[in-house]
Amino acid sequence: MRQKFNQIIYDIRRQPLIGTVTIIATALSIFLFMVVAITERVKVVPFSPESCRDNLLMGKYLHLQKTDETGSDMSSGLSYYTAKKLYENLDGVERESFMEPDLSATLVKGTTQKSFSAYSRGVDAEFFRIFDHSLISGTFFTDAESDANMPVVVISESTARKAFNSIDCVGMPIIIQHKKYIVRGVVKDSSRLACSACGDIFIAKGYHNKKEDVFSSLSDYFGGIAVALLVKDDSDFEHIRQQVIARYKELDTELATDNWKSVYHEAPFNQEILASDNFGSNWSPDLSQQNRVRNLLYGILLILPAINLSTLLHSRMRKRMNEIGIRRAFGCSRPRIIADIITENFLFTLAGGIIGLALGIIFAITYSGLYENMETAGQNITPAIGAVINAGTILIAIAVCFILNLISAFVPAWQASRLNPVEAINAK
Amino acid sequence: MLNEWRPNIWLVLELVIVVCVLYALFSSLYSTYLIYNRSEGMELNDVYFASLNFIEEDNENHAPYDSIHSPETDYALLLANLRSNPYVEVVGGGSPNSLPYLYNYWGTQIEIPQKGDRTRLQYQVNKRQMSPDMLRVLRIHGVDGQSPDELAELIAKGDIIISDRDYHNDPSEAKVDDFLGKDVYFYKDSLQTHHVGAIAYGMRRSDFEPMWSGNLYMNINFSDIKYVGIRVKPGTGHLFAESLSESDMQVGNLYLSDLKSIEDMRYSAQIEKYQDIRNKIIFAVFVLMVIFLGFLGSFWFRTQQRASEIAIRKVSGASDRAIYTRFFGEGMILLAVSIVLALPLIYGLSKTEMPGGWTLDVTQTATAGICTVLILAILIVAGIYAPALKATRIDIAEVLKNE
Amino acid sequence: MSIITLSGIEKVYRTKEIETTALENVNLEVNEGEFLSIMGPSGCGKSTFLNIIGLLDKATKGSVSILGNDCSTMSDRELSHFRNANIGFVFQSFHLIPSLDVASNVELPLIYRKGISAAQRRERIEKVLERLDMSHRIHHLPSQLSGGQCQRVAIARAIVGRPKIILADEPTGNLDSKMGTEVMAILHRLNKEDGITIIMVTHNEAQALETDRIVRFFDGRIIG
Repeated sequence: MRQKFNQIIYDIRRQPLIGTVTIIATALSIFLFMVVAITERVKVVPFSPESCRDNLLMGKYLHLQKTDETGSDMSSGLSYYTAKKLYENLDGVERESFMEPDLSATLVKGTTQKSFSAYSRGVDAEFFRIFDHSLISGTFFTDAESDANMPVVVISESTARKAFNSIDCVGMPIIIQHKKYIVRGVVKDSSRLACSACGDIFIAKGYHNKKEDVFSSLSDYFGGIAVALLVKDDSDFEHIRQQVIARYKELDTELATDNWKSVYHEAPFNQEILASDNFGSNWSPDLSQQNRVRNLLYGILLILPAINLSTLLHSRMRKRMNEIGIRRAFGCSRPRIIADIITENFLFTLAGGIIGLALGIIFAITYSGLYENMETAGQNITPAIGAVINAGTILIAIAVCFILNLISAFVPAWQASRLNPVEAINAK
Repeated sequence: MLNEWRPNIWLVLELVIVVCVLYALFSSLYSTYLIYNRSEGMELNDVYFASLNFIEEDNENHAPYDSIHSPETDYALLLANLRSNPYVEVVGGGSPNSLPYLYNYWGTQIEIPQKGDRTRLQYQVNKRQMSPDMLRVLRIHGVDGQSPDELAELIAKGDIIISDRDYHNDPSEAKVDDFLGKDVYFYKDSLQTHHVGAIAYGMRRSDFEPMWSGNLYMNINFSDIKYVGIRVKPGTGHLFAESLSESDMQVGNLYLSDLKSIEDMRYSAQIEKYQDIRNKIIFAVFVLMVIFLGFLGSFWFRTQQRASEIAIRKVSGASDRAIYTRFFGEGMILLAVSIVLALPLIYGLSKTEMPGGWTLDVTQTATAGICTVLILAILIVAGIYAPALKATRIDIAEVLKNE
Repeated sequence: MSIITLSGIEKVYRTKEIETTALENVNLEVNEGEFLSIMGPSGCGKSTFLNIIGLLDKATKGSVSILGNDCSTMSDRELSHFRNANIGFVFQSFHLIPSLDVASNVELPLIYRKGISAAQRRERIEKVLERLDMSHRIHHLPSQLSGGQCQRVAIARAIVGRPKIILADEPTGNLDSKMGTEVMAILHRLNKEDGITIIMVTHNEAQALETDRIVRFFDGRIIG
């Protein structure tokens, strides 16, 4: 291995331009590849307050269709009634939280002079047991409080500072949309990248004793509620999906009397779908188009530099023809030549790869524009460092280096192994 | 050149891929640019929006109404307060669907029943209800040159105003002019007619999206007003936002929240498109760098390999210019070969729909193609330049001695 | 006893336009422990002949048998093993690998051999360099050595794997006469002390006369 390192350094000294171009091309390719990969992974890698991502499913919508010839159609979020009907007490689910899936902009006023805008989300007490918001003072609200829709809230650290100039505000009143609430607890700020769990203000909102429990008309099927399901570690998502499909069938029998039926759209969604923005109330999420585009992108990011690296390696090998001839003379077999060149080139690729990965990580942490979307524009969307730098990221980088090396080095290595030793030894 | 056929094959393969990728990127960016450049017929600077909220009766802060006060009087006072702000020009109210940069669609259809058996004239519109003053806030103009004030007066007296849309793929469809000056019905509502008073410019949902359907501007009932639009004097937006007091924001049970400038709304509505454009540009730069590095590396090596050939040429009287021509000529031949090979693929690409669902016409295709070729030619010349320069500086005596 | 037997060797180079016969019906037997020189003008086919014996090149016709093995039918892998175990090469222009230091250059044949530990390799390298009086240069790069030193390292590389045969292609061609004499002395010592069979191509009549036998080539044939 040390010899191979020396060889690389020798190569760069002897052909500085070709060596440098090789490393830049590799670094550039790995950099872009890793930026894309990290951006994609941040959407699915678990981090606080969504450490549960691997075990999270969410039911968000209901889509109903008239069975008569009009074909009328209704679709929207769930009401407590339908949320419970479709998702309560499923086998394999450890916890379920009834919560608002989207943030609403609200006007907030504490003890400071000015009122300000903040994003709020109505959640039940179970929400904080699924999503690990970390409390810095006070407590979360209790099941009893959320079930009774008590006017209590948990607010984020920065909201507390804006409203009270301090995080010691537990028990203080806060005015949200001109309604008075009591602050129960203060949690650390969460990144908007935690699309299901983030928020500035969490308002206690429960489902017991709600008027939706008394089902009266079709509109009671719809509302602004979603269900977060924390799945037990050993249960698979498919098992839960099957149960939900069965629940949809039960709902259909109830709807049949009014000539309505439900349309199932792959509910509940896993994190990959939730993060994709590729879902809606009346259509089935389909990630295949998105994945095709991404795979094409990955392909081009690898193939184009690989062709370059291949010609560059070919150039470097042309300079080392008599070395290859001598190695052959002293008993090096063809497969060994191929293996040696690929291994040596892998170190070269790794050198470029390390530079590319480092730049990629720095870029992914400092440039939050990577993660902006319609909901998060201009807000705190810096990803947790752990979501960017982790074993997965490094493994991907190594794997990409390896693949890049294989596709770029194989042809030149094979050509080198086919050289006639006599000609090779006598090459200039 | 023939001696290097193998590396040349690699360069050509690389170029074929790059030509296709660049063409796809450029044609998509170009089509985006064309949409972005369409005239809007609106002036959307110096505008703010705030949502209008009502303190419900079950709220402890609700102030009960008496015979003099009502939500309407609160609203009138709220607007009057805003209008008295020194920076404010005009204030209006509208439905959620009246806002620009909002991906809402509240469709309806306007219809004129035809005599006899003929099918009726129909036209699909996005219904944007707003107070007459909101037309002044958005400065919507008529296509026949009507000012926002004139249009505002029209909807104030109960007329409706419609707009054209961007694409007319079906020639048998009704034209927007067919409705001008006519009394029309809304879909499934044959009880009430509405007079189409004017044709105005449409409001797109984003600067990057063509107008898929017409727009309908009509007056709004007080109970439907959910947003307040505020036009401030040019360049005073910041001063305006600073000058607002709590009492400006609340009158009785009505209060404003979530005040946003049109710039913020535009930014968040279009962020994904901005990112898309940014990503395409980065990707284009990436493939161009690959080509640059590819030619630099490959030709640098060739200069080394061919040192003796070049030296002999120089001995035989080749000028530096001849050497440059030879190097650049080689690059251009490779580019030309690649373009020929890429043509079938590009032809396929040019037939594909652009994101946003439309295809480029012949001149637009040609423009994107020419851009691709020109930029590639420049990058190839740039990549070959250093090796060519090195070739002209070859020390003839040294090289021939080593032979 | 014969260690190398070549019979009916013919080598023809073909390109599209021309056919060149480099060797024509060459027969030769070399005995174990023999020091043989091959002489002849440039382009007479002696280097081609040496390459065929070294199993680096294949004859168009004829059979090559070394140490009783028929080498004409061996696969690339078998040939590689065979070369590694039995043949050492010394070249006119040394052909040391410029990126590797002396020790690593000498080590080369050993890294392609199985069942030999790093420590054993190290020991053998040290021993052989000591024998060739190059121990003090063990960590130098070839570019830091004189021509004679380079050739001594090349010889060290050729013998470190303890081959039965050394093929030397004008080993003194790039050296001045003093260094050339030194290198010849080393080769003779290896031939006498270790019993290594040596086949050497040379242009130097005096050096050839010191060897056991001279084979002369002319136009692809052995003439004496």
